[in-house]
Amino acid sequence: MGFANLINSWTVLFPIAVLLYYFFRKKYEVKTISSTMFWEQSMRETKVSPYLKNLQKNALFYLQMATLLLLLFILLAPFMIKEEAIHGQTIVVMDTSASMLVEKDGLSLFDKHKEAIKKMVTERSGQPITIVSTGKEPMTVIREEKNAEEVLSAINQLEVSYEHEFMERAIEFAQSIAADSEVDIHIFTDSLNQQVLPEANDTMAWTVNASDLNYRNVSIDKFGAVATPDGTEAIIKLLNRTEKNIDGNIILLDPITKTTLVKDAFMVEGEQELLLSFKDLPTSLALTASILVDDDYAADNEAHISLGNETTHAIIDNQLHELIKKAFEAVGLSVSTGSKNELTAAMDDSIVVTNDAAYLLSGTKPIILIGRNDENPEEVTGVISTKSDSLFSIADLSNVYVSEIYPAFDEFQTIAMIGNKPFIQKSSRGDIIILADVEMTDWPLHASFPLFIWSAIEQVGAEGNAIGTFTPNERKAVLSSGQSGIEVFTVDDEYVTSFTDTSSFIAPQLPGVYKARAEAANEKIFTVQLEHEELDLKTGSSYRIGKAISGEGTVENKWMFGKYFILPVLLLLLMEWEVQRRRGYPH
Amino acid sequence: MTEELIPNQLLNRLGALSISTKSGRLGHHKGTHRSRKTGSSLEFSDFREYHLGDDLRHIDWNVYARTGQPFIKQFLDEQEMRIHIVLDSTKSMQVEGKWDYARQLCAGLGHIALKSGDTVSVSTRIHGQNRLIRKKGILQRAAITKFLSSIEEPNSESGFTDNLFGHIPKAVTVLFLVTDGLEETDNWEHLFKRLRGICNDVRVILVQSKSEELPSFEGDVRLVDIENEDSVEVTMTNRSICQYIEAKEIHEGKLFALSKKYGIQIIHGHVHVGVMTLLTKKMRQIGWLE
Repeated sequence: MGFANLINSWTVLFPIAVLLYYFFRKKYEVKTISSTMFWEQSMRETKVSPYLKNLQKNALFYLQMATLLLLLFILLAPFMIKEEAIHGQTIVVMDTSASMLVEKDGLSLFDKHKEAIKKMVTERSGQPITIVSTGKEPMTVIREEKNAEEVLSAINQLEVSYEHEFMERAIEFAQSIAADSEVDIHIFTDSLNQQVLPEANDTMAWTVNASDLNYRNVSIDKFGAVATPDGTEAIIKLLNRTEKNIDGNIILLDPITKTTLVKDAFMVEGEQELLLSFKDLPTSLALTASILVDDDYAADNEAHISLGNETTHAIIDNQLHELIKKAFEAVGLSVSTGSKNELTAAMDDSIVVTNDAAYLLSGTKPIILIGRNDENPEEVTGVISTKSDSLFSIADLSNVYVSEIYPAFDEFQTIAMIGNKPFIQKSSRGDIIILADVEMTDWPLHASFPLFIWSAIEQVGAEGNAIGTFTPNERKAVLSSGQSGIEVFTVDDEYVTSFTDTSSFIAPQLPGVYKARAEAANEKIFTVQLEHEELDLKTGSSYRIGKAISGEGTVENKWMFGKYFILPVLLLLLMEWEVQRRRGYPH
Repeated sequence: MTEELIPNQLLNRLGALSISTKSGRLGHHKGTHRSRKTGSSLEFSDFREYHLGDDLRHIDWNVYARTGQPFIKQFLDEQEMRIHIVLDSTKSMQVEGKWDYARQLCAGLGHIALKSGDTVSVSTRIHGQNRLIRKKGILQRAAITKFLSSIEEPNSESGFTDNLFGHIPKAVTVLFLVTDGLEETDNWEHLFKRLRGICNDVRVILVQSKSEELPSFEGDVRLVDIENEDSVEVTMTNRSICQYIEAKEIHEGKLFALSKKYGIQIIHGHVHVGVMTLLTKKMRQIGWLE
């Protein structure tokens, strides 16, 4: 303990003055009388134990003395140096994945951990606390905050983000925050293998708070649906992760029209899986499967799928340059090369890339035409100018040099020109025509080439109504034809979020079926689905590695507690008043 | 003080007084008080018919001559009274002239009684032992005074009411208790209950000093009880004095109520008023003396 205001110690004069006053106060005169019988009766309360009698006799003195000393004490501003086992900052890594929603006794693991963190924060009030939430991109919720109330309110605002925790990233992130300073890292999750943690050293202590409760869980492990000429076929794989048999009901729902397509009872044996398939379902844009079972984890009892005809395969004419194949591979498509016959065969379920203009007229799907085999190129000079099109939203062509181009198709819309000649055209069907061979330009050497290819695939391949399936918070560029950006709505047309830049699209975190609206007329369905890892509930024990950090070189925390003595002083003053009132003024 | 406990000229002023009582119980010896029984005094009482066995000497022959019937002439009997005085010798009697006052009172009462030819006994307790003097006849006045003078200081440790019975003689006509009455009323009740069986005419004189009546202390005083050395610290204020008087009045009120219940008379004897006033005025007014 120390005193911050030692200068105020001169006030010790006041208690001394009171003390002196009591030294020189009048003494009692002794008188012998026949009997104190009547006097005793009027002062009966004085006849107690000698100590109490002394206290009672000098009550006013003691009270005044106590008041003065307390006031003196407060004036000196006393403080305590709080010695803690661990100094330096505390980093809390909070798992925000969907599996934290598992409930036992009406309290989710997430809330349970939140309470534990709050308790810890209250205990470490005044120390810097950093809270990190997990995910593909770990984030600091609050950084080196010393004010416990701020931290508590930040904890209250923590929410489950549904995406997988990627605990390794969070741990690396926490380590990078900690740098070389002493730090006590607390991880709140459902289960964490000790091998994931780095080796404990002198400056880091790791505490893992896991849950070792036994949870019952039945999950929709896989959910697939495909549109056939006869309707829609759906297949659902249920997995029972508990030892007991569990029965329940399965419901298949069209989330857009809100019609229940199938309702069926099922029973899954313990630790077994169950395959359910449904045929001849009506055609719909999306399907939602949900199971009604009595288990502890509700988040995986629902699965969504959108029935878009997304194409993920490209077939490239073997007449084309190898660079084109490379470019298609670079954007993540499965690519094959083939002859004209193979191209024709694969036309319906692949993106066809060719230089044969005949394909513009055949097949049901748009193609990408690079160069023309039916015309001869002519020289061209000039700067490339592009029209507003989503194809160029991420690919900038301004630095591209083109030596020769083929003649244009008259009936198609030109979206890029060199000088006054068309360079890139678009057909009404959606075909993309590049009027130059790869050899005629340095474009493949530019970064904009694969980006353009990607955009082209997005536009050609995803010409349907769906833009695919996302995981919660997944960051993925989505192509939109308009420049207005994308607005995201739920199937019930509730506004969720919007993105001005289509390349910065981030999927919503809550699993479900959503609509992405680029323009009023252009509405596409996409679904957000939990990662497969999140379907499996892992449990593990809590442990701690790394020693408690020694007190050396720690920050001393001064706890000013003087203010807490003001109330007792007030109380003492009241008591003095009362004593004075009862005793009356001495002669 | 030993010599002048009570001056003789003052005692002489008491000559005309005698103790009056309605108590029928008198002593067996000859005295000056008329008894209800017939006896051998000169005062005529009554005639009655002669019955066999009566003393022939008492036949009034004059009446026999007139009536032819033998009548016995009866006279009133005169008998002595037995007066006993118990003097409270507890330490509390030391204070403020109460002891002298009490002894003077005893001497005065003794003087009056002896002059009437009554038997007087005085008892008190000194150094834990009972002292008793018993005298009869006017010539014994000096002996009583001397006895009282010889007791320098009251120093009895035990309470007054506790040791009273050991030295009260039998067949007491009038019993005087000279005390300051500073004991719990329970003790007094116990005493009064037993006194009723011993004497029909018990008279208590409560000796009280001036400052006991109205405390004259000022300032902060530690009051020490002379008997048990308890001390009480009191800051003298009107309020505390009022409380004292109130407590005292309650105590005396209880005492008077008790005495009324058991047929015992109590009066106050105030030290500052003096013994003579008490004897010649107050006691005569209430009919103790005549």
